[in-house]
Parts: sequence; C-alpha cells; structure tokens
Amino acid sequence: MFPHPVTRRQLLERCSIGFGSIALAGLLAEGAEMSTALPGALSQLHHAPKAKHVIFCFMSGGVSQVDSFDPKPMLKELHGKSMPVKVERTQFNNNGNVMASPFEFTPSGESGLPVSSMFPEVAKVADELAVIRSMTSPVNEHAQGNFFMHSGFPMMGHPSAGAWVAYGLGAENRNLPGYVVLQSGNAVAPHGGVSLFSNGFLPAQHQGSIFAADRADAVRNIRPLDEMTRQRRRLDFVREFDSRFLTRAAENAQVEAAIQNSETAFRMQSAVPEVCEISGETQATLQRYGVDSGDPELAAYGRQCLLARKLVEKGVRFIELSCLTRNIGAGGAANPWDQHGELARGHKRMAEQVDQPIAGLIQDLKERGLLEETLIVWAGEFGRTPFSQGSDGRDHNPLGFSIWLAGGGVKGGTVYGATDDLGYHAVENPCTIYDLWATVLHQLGVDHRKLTFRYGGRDFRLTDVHGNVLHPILA
Amino acid sequence: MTLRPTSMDGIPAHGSSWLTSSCLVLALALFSIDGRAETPANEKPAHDKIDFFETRIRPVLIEHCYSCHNSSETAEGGLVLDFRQGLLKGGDSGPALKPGDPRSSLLLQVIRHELEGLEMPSASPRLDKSIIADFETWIRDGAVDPREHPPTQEELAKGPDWAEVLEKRKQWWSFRPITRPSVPPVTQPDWCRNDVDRFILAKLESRQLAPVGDAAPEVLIRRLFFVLTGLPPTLEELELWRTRFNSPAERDITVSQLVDDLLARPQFAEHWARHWMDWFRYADSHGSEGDPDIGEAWRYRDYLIRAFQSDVPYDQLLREQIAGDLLESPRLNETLQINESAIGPAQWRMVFHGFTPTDALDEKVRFVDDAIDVLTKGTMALTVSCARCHDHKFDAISQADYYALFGIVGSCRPGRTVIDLPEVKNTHVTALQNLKQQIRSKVASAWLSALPELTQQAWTPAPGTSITPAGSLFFPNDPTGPESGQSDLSRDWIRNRKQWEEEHQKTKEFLNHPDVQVWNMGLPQEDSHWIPTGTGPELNEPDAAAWTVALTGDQILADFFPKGVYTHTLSTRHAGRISSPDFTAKERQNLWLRICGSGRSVARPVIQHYPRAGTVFPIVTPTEDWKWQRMDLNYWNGDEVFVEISTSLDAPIPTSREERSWFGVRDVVIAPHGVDPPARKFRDAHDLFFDERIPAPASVPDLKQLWIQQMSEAIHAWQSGELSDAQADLLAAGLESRLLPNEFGTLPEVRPLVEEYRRLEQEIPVPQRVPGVSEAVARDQPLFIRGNHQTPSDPVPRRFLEAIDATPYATQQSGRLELANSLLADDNPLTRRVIVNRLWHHLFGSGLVRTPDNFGRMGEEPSHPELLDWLALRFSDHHWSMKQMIRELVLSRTWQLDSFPGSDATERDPENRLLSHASIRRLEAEAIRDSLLQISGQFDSTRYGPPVGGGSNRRSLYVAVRRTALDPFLRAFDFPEPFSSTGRRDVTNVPAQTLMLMNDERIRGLAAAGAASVLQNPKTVNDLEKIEWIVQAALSRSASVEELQFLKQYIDDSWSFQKTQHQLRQQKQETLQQLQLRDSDLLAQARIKLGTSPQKSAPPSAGLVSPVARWNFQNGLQDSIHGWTLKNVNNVMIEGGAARLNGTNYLVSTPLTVPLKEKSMEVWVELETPSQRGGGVLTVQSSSGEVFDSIVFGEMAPQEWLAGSDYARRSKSFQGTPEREAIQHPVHLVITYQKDGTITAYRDGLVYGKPYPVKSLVEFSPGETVVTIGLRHLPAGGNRYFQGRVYLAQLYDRALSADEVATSYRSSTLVETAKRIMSILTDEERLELKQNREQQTQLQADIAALPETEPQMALSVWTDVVGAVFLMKEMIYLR
Repeated sequence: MFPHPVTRRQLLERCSIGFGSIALAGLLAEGAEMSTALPGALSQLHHAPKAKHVIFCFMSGGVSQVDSFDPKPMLKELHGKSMPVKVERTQFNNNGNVMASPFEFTPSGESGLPVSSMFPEVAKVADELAVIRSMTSPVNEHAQGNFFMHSGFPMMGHPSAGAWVAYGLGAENRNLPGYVVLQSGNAVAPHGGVSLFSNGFLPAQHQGSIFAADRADAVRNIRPLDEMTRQRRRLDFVREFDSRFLTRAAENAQVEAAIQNSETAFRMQSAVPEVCEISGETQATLQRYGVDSGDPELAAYGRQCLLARKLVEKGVRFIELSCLTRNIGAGGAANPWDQHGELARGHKRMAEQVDQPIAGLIQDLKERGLLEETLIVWAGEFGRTPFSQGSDGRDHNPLGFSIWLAGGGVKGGTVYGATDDLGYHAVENPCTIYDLWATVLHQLGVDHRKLTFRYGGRDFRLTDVHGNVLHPILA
Repeated sequence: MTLRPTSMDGIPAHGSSWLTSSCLVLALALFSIDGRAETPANEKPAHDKIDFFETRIRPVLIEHCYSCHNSSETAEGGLVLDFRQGLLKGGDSGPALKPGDPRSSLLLQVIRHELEGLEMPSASPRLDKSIIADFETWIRDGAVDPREHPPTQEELAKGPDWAEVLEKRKQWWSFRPITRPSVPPVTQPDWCRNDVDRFILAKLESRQLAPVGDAAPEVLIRRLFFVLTGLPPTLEELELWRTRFNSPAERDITVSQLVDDLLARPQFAEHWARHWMDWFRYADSHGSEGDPDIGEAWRYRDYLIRAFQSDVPYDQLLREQIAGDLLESPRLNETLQINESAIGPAQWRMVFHGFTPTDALDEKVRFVDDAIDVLTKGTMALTVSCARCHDHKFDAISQADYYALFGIVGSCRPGRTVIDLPEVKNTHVTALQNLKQQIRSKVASAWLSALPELTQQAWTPAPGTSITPAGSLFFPNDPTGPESGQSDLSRDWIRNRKQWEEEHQKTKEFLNHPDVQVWNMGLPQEDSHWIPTGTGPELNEPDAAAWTVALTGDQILADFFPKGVYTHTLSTRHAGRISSPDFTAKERQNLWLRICGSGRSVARPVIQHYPRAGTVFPIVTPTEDWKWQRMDLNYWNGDEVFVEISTSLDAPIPTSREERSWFGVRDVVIAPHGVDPPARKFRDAHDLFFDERIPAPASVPDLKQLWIQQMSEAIHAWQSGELSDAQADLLAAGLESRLLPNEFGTLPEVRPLVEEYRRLEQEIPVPQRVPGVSEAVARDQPLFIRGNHQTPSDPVPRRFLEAIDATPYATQQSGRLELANSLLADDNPLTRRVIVNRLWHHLFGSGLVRTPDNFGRMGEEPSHPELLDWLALRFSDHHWSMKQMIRELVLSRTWQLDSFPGSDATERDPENRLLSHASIRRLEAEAIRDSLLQISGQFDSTRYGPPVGGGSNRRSLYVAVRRTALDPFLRAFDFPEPFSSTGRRDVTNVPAQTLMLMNDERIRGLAAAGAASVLQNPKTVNDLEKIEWIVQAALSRSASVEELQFLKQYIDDSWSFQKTQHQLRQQKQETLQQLQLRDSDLLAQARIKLGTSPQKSAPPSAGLVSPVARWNFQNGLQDSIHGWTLKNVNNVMIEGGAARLNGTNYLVSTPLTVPLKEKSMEVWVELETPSQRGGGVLTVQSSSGEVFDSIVFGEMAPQEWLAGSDYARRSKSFQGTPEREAIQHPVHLVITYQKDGTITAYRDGLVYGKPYPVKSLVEFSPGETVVTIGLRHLPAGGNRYFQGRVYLAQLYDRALSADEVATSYRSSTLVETAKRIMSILTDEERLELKQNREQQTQLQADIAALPETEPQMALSVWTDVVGAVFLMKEMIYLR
C-alpha cells in the first residue's frame, strides 16, 4: 500500500522542472556552462551515438520532388498529356496534365547524385547527402501535415521531434534551451502555429524556443528592462524573501527549483544575445552563408544557418530553421514553398533562398569537424504532384516525395527508395515519417521504441507504434 | 511451510500483501541455501500442475507476452514464449527460466522489474502481485508446460479470450461497485471536524503518523480565497476576516462564514467553471490552417459560470453536456430567456479540425475520436480512445466498446442550436401572421378591383425597370413583343408554347431520370426525411406557396414563392438550417439545388460531417433569383454525404456574421454528370398560359384578357390560401413588372398594417445560437479492423461499455440521452468517483487518485479507497451538489492543516499521500495573471461575453483560447493546450516564466500601475505603510521585522539609483542640446553656401493651385493666405525653416474662417524617428478634436502613412510601402478627400498605396475648425504627438488631382533643396549629420525613460519594489 518510490520519470511528469532543476547542486556554480550538462530522461543511451545534434531544415509548404532530387525523364516525354495513371484526390482538385520539370538534373559530386539546377550550391556537397526518394505522409494538407511531420500525429497536443530529443538526451548547455526554432525576416510558424514546436505532454522545458535570429531581442522578453546591475540587485533582494519562503515551505523541491530557475533566466539574458551575435564571424564566413547577400530573404536564411552552427557549438540539441516567403503562387508566410501556381519561378526563388546558406552550413560544419556529430534533416511536409495544378503550379503530393539527410553518420551520396516513373507514388522501399524519426533517434543513440512518456494511459513515442531505422542510408 | 501461501490448498495468493511476497522471496533464498529449492516437500500431482499452468500461466503469457515474443512474427530479444522449448532456450540474455529455481529465473526478475531496462511487459504497469506470485509458484513447481508446439498463426491472431480478459480486468478497483464503507473509528475523535477527518485520521493513526496543527489564519484566508475563487483577498477583506480569528472558539464559525461568503461569489463560479473547461478542453477556435472560430463558444463558458453560481447538480450538468438539447424538461433561464440545457452539447464541438482534408473519413474518425477521448476521460477517467485499433491493452474496454460509442457520437451532425425560449423564438409570430392575413385581404381586394384598369394601360416597362408583363412572361428575349405590333402574336405564341413544352419535357426527363435522386422540398417535411432546425423552417409550411412582406422601402409585398422550404416567411431574422438524409456519393455525380436566398446563407454537401468549407469542400451562396446551383460530387465518390442549407449564422461554422439572412429551396437533386436541368427560358407562370386547353390569343387585347383572367384567378387563390406554384409566380411577375399596385402611394389603406408589421418584425430578437450537434437517422458504426478506416467490419450496436452494461440502446436517435443515463446509472462505479476525485484534486492540490484523468490500470490507485467511495455516495445522495461537497471538504480539519510537515511525515510519507499536512502548490496560470491585475489595481471584474485578448484587464478565463495562438503569458504558466481532458495541469518551471515577470512590458506596466496606486493611496503615506500595503496585497500577510528591514534597504538603494538616473538624464539632455545645435549649424552652413533658404518662394509654375492656408515657417507662424495664426504649445522650435516637433509639443491654429469638406492636406515632413506610432503631422479638426482628418504616421501599421480620423471612421490602411527615407530628408505628402468619398494619399508626387472610398466626408464649419501641426488631434496627449520636422503645411478646399499633386511636388524647392543641402555637405559632414541624428534619436529615447522629477523618481522606486514583489515565489505559491 505504501507508495512506490518516485521514479525520475514520475518526478518529471509531476513537477516537471526547468532546465537547471535536476542538477540543483550544479546550478549553484556560477559561470560553468558546458561542463554542467543536464541529463535527459534516458539514464544512458541505448547504443553508441553517431550524432549529438540535429538541424532540421524544414521546407514549409512542400518542395516538389520531381524538380529537386527525383529526376523523372518520363515527365518530359508525357509533358502536356493527361496522366497515364489514376489521379488520387488532391487538395484543390484542379488537376492538369503531366508537367515536366522546368529544371535540369546534373549528376553531382563523386557519387554522381542527381541534383536539379534549383540547387547548384547544394549540388557541390552532394557527396554528403543521403536522399530518400520514397518518403510518404498520410496527410495532404499543411497544418495536419506539419503536425505529422513534427510529431508523428496529425493534430496538436503531441510533442515535437525536437522536444522528444531534448527530453531524451537532456541539455549540454544549461543556459540555452535544448530545442530552438530559428526565425528571421518575414518567417513565421508554419500552418498549425507554434503548437508545432510544442512539448505536448512532455515537461515544458523541452518546448521549442523561438529565436528571432536577426533581432536584438531574439527571445520573447529576453531583453532586460533594467540595467543588469539593477536587475541583479532586484533578484538578490527577491532571493532574500524566497529563501525565507523556502524555509517556511519546508524546502519544498518545487519551490527550490523555481528559485533556481530565476537564476537560469537571469543568465539566459546574456547567453542568448551572446550566441545570436555574429559580429565575431569573419567576412569569409558571412559570405559563405550569404549573410551579406543583397537578397534580403537569402541573407535572413543565411543568418539562421550561421546561427544554427553557433547553437550546435553551444550544445543545443535540436535546431529547426524556418523558410521565408517570396510570395509566389500561394506560398505565403506560413507555407513559402507552396507553389500551387508559378511553380518554376516560385521554386527557383525559394531554392535561391536556401541553397547557398545550407551548402555553406554543411561546408562550414565539415571544416570545423562538426558535421560528423550533427545530423541535418532537409524535408517539407509533403511533395508535389507530377501533373500540373492549373497551368503552371503543382498541388500537394504526400504519396511519394524526397527528403535528405546529411552528416551525423549518414552515408553521403546515397539514394534510397524510389517513386514510380512519374515520381508520383513511392514504389521502392516506401518510407514513413516514423522511419525518418526512428533513424534520427537511432543516430542519436536512442532506440525509438524505448523513448517513451506515459500520458493518458499510454506510453507514447515519437514514432507512435511504428517506425523502422533506415539502415541502408547509414554509414 | 506456512510461508508458501499458494501451496497448501491451491488457493492462489490473490490479495496477499507485498509484505508477504517479500517474505516469500526471503524464504526462497533460504531454500536455495539449503539446497532444497528443487525438491519441495509436498510434490503436487502432475495434473494439478497442468491445471495450474492452464488457468494461471498460459492466459497471462497470451495476454501480455505473445505479441512481442512469438514464433511466427516477432521475437524481440530473440525470445519466444509461445511454447515450452522457447522458454527453456531463452533469448539473447540466456534462458528465461530454470525450472524449480525461481531465484535464477530471468523471467521472474523481469516481471518483477528488478532489471533496469528490461521491465516487462514493456510499456505497461507491473503485473499484479498475485500473478507474479503465480509465476513464482509455477517455476518452483518445475515450470510444467504442456505446450509442445508453437501456436499456429490463426491461434496466435485470436489472442486471449476477451470474455475472460474482461472478467479479470473488471476486478480492477475502479470497475468494482462502489462500496458503502462505514466511517472508521479513531482514537482522537475530538480532532475531527467531520467524517472526512475520521477517514484521514484513521489511516494516519494506523501508520502512527500525527497530523500537524492548523494553518495560521492568514494562511488559511489566502488558501480559501485562491482555492475557492482563484483570486487573492483584497486588503480590506484580509483585514476583515483576520480580525474575526481572535479566539480558537470563533475559528470554526469564522471559517464557515468565510467559506459561505466565497462560495456565493460569482468569482467562485468563474474559477470553478475554468476547471470544468479543462476537463472538456474548452477552445474558441478549431485550430489548423485558418483557425476558424467555434462561433459563440463563449456562451458555453458563460453557461458553466451560471451553472456553478447556482450550483446546478452535477448529474444535471453532465446530462446536459451529452444531450442537453434533447431533454424533455430542460433547465430554463427566465431572466436570460434561454434554454440553458441546450448549451451543454457545445462541448461536442470543441474538437480540433483539420483544413480541407482530402480524406474526409479519416478526418471524421479523428474528430470523433477527439470527442470520445474527452468524454470518457472527462467523465469516467477512462482511456476508451486507446481501444480504437484493438481491445484496450490494460483496461476492461473492448474495441467494440469504442465503436459502440463511435456510433453515438458519429451519428450526430455538427450544427448550431438556437437557445432562445419558445416565447422568444415566437416573438410576435401570431401577430405577424394575423397582420399578414389582413394585408393579404386588403391587397388582394385592391388588386381585384384594379384589374380591369390594367388592361387599359400600355404594357410598357414600369419606371426604373425594363420588365413588362409581356417581356417577362411571354416573349423573353424578343424585342418585338406583342405590344410593338411588329410580330405575329399567334405564330409567336405557338412557337413559344412549343419551346415551353420542350423545356417541360426536359425538366421532367431530368427529374424522372432513373439515376437521379430527387427531393421535392415542396412536400411535407416528414415525406422528405429532411431535418429542419431553427425557427424559420419550423414556421414555414412547405406544401403551400409562400409570400413575404417588404421589410423596408415603399413597397408593400416583397415576393411570392412556390412551394418549398423558406426561412423568412415572417422575418429575415429567423434562424434556419435543413439537412438531408445521408447518402453515399458515387462516381461522376452532381448535386443540384434549386434555391434562392440572401444575406450570405449557404448550401453545401457535407462530406463525412466535416464542417468547414474550402478547396474541395464546396459551398454555394444562393442569390435572390431562383437558380439551379450545381456542386460536383465526383471527388467525394464513395464518401458519405448529406446536403445542408442554412442561414448565415446557422452554418456549423459560420462564414459571415449577417443577422438577416434567408434561403428558399424547391428541389435538391443528385444526378449523374451529363444529366442536367435544362437552361430555363420560361418561368412557372407560363404554365398558366401554355396549357393546351387554352387557345392561343389572336390579338394583344385577347392576350391582355387572358392575363387578367389568370391574374384574377391567382389573386382569388391567394386569398383562399390555395395558391399554386404557377399562380405564385404570376403574382411575383406582377410585382416585378410593377403592374400590380404595390406601393404605399397607390394602396394607402395598407400602409398602417405594413408599418405595424415592420415595427413588430424589428422587435424580433436576433436568435442566440451556440455550437451544437443535431440528431439525424442514427446508424451503428462498423468496427474498423486495426483502427484502419479503410477496413470496416461489422457494425457495433450503439451502447455503453460492456464492462458496465452492454445492452444495445433501443432508439432511432443517436443514443445520447441513453449515454447520459448510462454515465449516471447507479451501477456505473466510475462517474461519481471521478467527479469527487476531481473536486478533491482542485481543493487539495492532488486527488485521492493522483491521476484524475485515468482510473485505469495505467493510473494510480486511490490512497484512501474507502473515503473515495464514501464521498462518491455522499455526493450523489446529496443531490450531486458540487458546492456542498466543496464546502464539506474545505471545512474538514484535514483541509485546514498547516503545510509544514512533521518530521515523521517527511521521512515516512514524503509525498503526503496520507495528508498529515497541507500540500504546497503553485497557483494556476489564470490565478497568477488575475492576481497581478488585482494587486496593480487594474482588475476589470466585468463578467461574461465574447472572449478578449490577453492584453485586456479582464479575468483570464475570458481571454480567448485560440488554438493556433494561445496567450503567451498563460501558456508560460502551463495553461493547457486544448487537446484532451486535463484534470491535472502540469506545474513546470521554465525560464520563460521569470523572463515574463521580469522583462515583459505589460507586467512592468502593471507594476507601475500598482506603484501609482500605492503612491496615490491616502492610507499609505509613509514608506512603512506603503511597504505593508504591497506585501499584504501580494502575499496576504504582514511583513516580518526582518523583511521590513530588507525592504527599507532596497528602497533606499532604489532611491539612490534613481538619483543617479536623474543626473544621467540631465547629462544626456545637455548632450542632446549640443547635438541639436550642431545639427542646425551644419544645415545653416550648407544653406549659406547654397545661398538659398528652403522656402524661397517657388517660381510660379503652370498648373499650381492656390491653397487656402500655407505655413512655411519662414516668417513666423502666420498662414500666408488667410492669416490664420498658429499658437506654439510647449515650445516648438522653429529653426532652419521648419517646425521641429519633439513628441511633447505642437502648434494649433486660430479657427478657420472658411468651410472645408472636399479638401487636400499637403506637407513636407521629416521624421525624427521611424519607430513612432500615431503622431499627427497636419490635422483639420473640430475645436474639441472630436472630429478630425489628419496625416498620421505609423498608427495602424508601423511606418505607414495614414489618413487618420476620429475612431478610424474614415481611416483604412493605404497598404503603402513602409516609410524608410523620411528619416534622412523631407518627403512630400498629400492626402486628398474627394467629393465622392475617395481618399487618396500621395508621397513624393506619386499615389501612395491604394485609394479607398468612405461613405461620406465631414463638413468642417468655419469658426469651429482648427488646424494642428504635430498633433493627431486635440486634446493633446498620449501617442498623438509627432516627432520630426515640418517644413511646409498647406491646405486646399478641394481634392487635388494626381497631376496637380505631382506639379506641386516638382515645383517645390524643398525637394531640390534637401538634395542639394545634402550634396553640398562634405562626406564627413554628411556622416556626422547622420550619426548626429542617430544619436539624437537614441538620446531622446533614453531621456524619455529616465526620471525627470521627484514624483517620477518615486514612481520608479515603487515600480521597482512592486516589480520585485511580482518575482517573489511566495506570490505564486499557496501554502
């Protein structure tokens, strides 16, 4: 009858306390940063990890596979003709004829991986990429597709992959969150809103923290309203009261954690602006990422990529990047790649935005020896139809699309899976989003079936009850 | 062998205590030391052992192990457990067991959870102790296992026998019947205040734990206020109640008085309604792309508040959540004139909805699942949703149970419910019907007597129309109608009759096509099986032709309609929605509707109950003319569909807010592609003329005669209420052509009747709608195999959970009423336990069952099972009164204990499950926000109504719960995402909380407001009083001497800081002045070099228009045209030919002496800072500033120029490019106000953004109109001031044309001058000027933030103190 001893998970579940709370003793030491890593829910990894960080380049709106990484010569042959196979339901039901890609594919790198002319810079690092051409999603609309891509469930309420990673692995840096979402310029949360970055039912410190990469106050309320010395005085004064309260509260662990938490917040005020500051970077680096570009969206995305590297250096576990809209063909702020019309121009302009920065990121990470421990995931929530929508757009296609992984123990220059001759359905080694996250977790040293959280009478996973590690793309 | 509880008689160790099992382990260890483990003393016969395996072991292996460890599919860890050899061989970690030796058997270790990382069954709670004991016995007895071979795949797939599993699982505590325990005896009865205490104390005594003492009065008062109302006591309340705690004897009385006081408050109801909202995941929007409103969701919130206020019994309230719209005797609210009960089902609609899913059934499965999940968790703490794909993994819930409930929920259609009482719904209905009859009688007789005259009139088009009776009736599209005499009437007649016959034939073919489904809406409703809701359709008799009275204008009647369903036969305010029976869409089908309507009514095929519109979910908006409207269903081939037509606000998700909206519908047809209704040339009235029995008229007089005759018959038929469709249309044609007199002027005797009709109609209130569901023909839901909606199996009858009552519901309806009954049935052990546990949770900080949303195997067991049952029964015995239960619990001694644990408890009951003391808990997000508002004196206690933004000062429960944009403050403090039932909120601790309290502008603003109210409070004169006030307001207690000292020190410290800040301000001001001087110097030098002044009068230029006023700041402040002079308020610097406005000063003119309506305002202006919001450059206004037009910067959107006006009446964003240049040099701006209401802005001679129209311009009268420069409008204050330089301000009494604006721009020397001045500066000077101005901007911002005066410093000091108090943990924790 006597209660079971409290497990670590129960403790987290019941009074989930902020980063900083588990290792209370460690917190008291000022100044230490990387040295006081905070353990995650997993007391030990399930196997030796290949990667420690994830950078998720989310291509919101859906990139066309047949225009990016999945060349389909047959589209050229059939261009303008009606689809030779059954056309599945599309979201706009304004289906035209087969539409050839306006882009050319070139075998790139030593591996000869075909990359379309949309991505000339990424093509230069083709030997780092493992392209999955047979990705599928059960969802054909943005919001639910985004939820699915992020959490494995098509609606709000479930933890995002970044939150799972932060929860499972803990933080390497107690002054920065484990899961950071970068935005800059006109970037906003994709359809579905900030709940896409939610901790769901996991403890709240694992939710994605949005950093505005190009703003002085990168995080909400991070800019002190007072001079730091004044603020320090206030906190010290408050601490006098708090410690008396703590005594009255019989050293209640939660109250104690809350008190420590104020200190973390205080330190974040300098840690965040510090990590967001790019003035220390060389001109060559800025150029490589496109930060100095005259194209404002390219420059803004470049800044996110550069910041992603800095966050990796600081030990942040999971970093998600946000595209900026070019306002072409239905691609709005929440779904910039959504070219239901003007696909050729829209995709070209969107690709220009991310091509150089991402290629720069990969090269930079590699030169700094960080690519080995950083897994880059490049994906949209679905692909696009090989036939046109209206005259010059493409509708959503979740039945078969391309994504790629790089770094973090991935076998570069690989192609895995295939779609049919039209690039419509995944036919060879079809993959699910669960497979993707199972693989990502695997590289982080985690068995996706064993990273669970009990909620509402079930042990939930990022991969629900599915998912297989995609070993063929791993080195 | 007494240590072997299972051995002697074969009775298993069910219920054996943990203690016993532990001893058993110990005993086994001894055995093994003795080396006797494998030779038990009394060997059991073999058949007993097999029997033991079959009854105790095999079922457990099947249920818990086979799925992951089998021979055919999955053998995790290389281990198979489905036959003997597999067990013996073992997996990657070696043999699973060693027969006869439990201690060295891996299997036993893993099921005991003794090996970290190998706890089995995985992802499940530990097996029951008795089962573990069985395994131990079995192994010790040699692990007899008759399974020679692995099961076949079929055997494996069959899994365990569900009936057996169910029986076993029903033994779980929460499924067992509620017992009626007696109140236990205690050794210290005096300690107890009520029976609750006896239960608690008995347990404490049995554990030799002593309860701590009572909480101090201050602590108790604060605890009561927060727990019951979610708000802290005010200082007055704190004082009042504190004084009543003088003696222990008074304590009980005082507490019970305070409790009664608090329970009676509306704040109690608000606070507890919010708890309920958590249980039912309340939301104001559906989420996903577009995040549409759950329209009027807030009425449900208000309903809950009223329900808690009046203590509506829980059983009633719960019944209403499920089926409040179906209750025979609903709860009526006579004050609000509404049916309260009908609001409850709004909870069904709080589901998340995706955006235009291409798989609509998948979406339905998801949102029905959402509803089932919330319902079963919320009311019974069962995770029924876990049984969607298979029988529940742990609980007594089958997959069939899930689909039984799915049938109920999935049979209900998303809709809207009108909640007005019948008498409100029927406001004036009888009177209007009577008036209609009188109007009919008068109009009909007037028409009949007018008929003969009509033949005399020329049938030419009526004034203002192009319709003649001939044109509209007989020869459509024929310009040479009979009246023209140019055609041969009888030939045309015959030709037309032939076409008419063809059209009729085609219509007939269409409607009688074998593959066409037709609903003739002109038949009685019961024949069509359509479901009408609202008020309009209920009033309308579809099998009679209808007509309407004109509700505005000079006309009497509005229209006549053929038989059909209408919502507006009396009023366009009446609500209406009708929906068809379900059907399955087939390939290549169209939905055709013959409808009309107005006010954005909508018609649509509803696919799989999905309520939103968009892309592949089409809608049509009917028009006032009858039309066949088509919607293609091909896309939805195979999906279940019904047709729905509704007035604007009655669509399940309204797409507009039109209060007056109506529709009419005659036919609804599902037809294959290609089978279309004919294009219509003829109207219904033609049927009266082309009847073959009627000879073709030979001449126009014949035709007129025929027309008169038909008209006469139609009018008679109308009089007697027997109007046919064709006759109704003939009368309609008579109205359209204005041939029938239908105006007040011609029928003056009808006017009073119509006016009375309109008066009464105006009084019909707009129906109050809430989100709801409606009943249709219910259907059992086929079970989806493995939860896959593409593999339906047999339908499961609609019923309750089989663990409680598996009898199918005998109803044609969904079964919601029956479901409510099942939830509340006496033999349902869950509902009552769950609600009393929820109440307990919110009162004590955690429940007797600490998993309030899960009473299943994965939840926790109750700490005090007897007490829980005792409370459950007491609750229902006492009329399910939540207030009474809450009252009883808080009046217990247990609840009122101090929170400081005794030393015994810290050691032996660290989680305080035995309640020897009160538990410390953090306040909920809402209570934190509400406290901040109350302490700062900003609290707005307004109750009820539509949701507000987080920036409002209303209580947090009124803040909108928008799924894609939850309030950041509330979210930071764990406000739940509205996604599932939340009985226990997370209490997390993230830096965002401190950052919010420390750095958020709004929180700082609240601290400042709190400081201001302390400073102004006459009761808090000296520092000590002020400190006392703040501490008491925030912490509901007095400060200790030591704390007072700290505070005093802090205040001193803050004062000295402020003084340095003040000095800093002075320094900065000096620096600023120097910079400004240098700035002017640079410009002046440049001008001297140029030999020009910026406003040297421009050379006369062709096309330049004279203004009515002109200020150029060259020669003082007088206008150079009329001599209107500007008054300088607060020292505007006039320098370098510009008025330099600093954000605190402005110029205001003497009254204008000419009127202004059509006008143009022109300025040359330069910005001091681009970040300013709302400053006015040039304004024309009434003397008071009440009415104004102004050139404003950055008000609606940052950095945009705007035509500002009073309450934005004539303002709309031009959507112009954000201003980036005016910071470097002056720009030219003109806003013109054209006579037709068009407002146009020009910047540097070009149109700025988009012009827009307004309804009318303001007339500014001479003598009552003034101009301000640098102020949006009078009176001065706030963000109305402008910061920057104005070089020229001109006013015109007409709207300049684009050319004139361009000319004015070009001809100004200013543009030239600005460029030239810049050009004449050296690079260094230019850089200096740029930096100088940047510094000035920064300095000004700095200075504005620094204290100037003593009161300002005081405010800063006390803001600092209040801000610090806001950061104290004590403020957000409850002791």
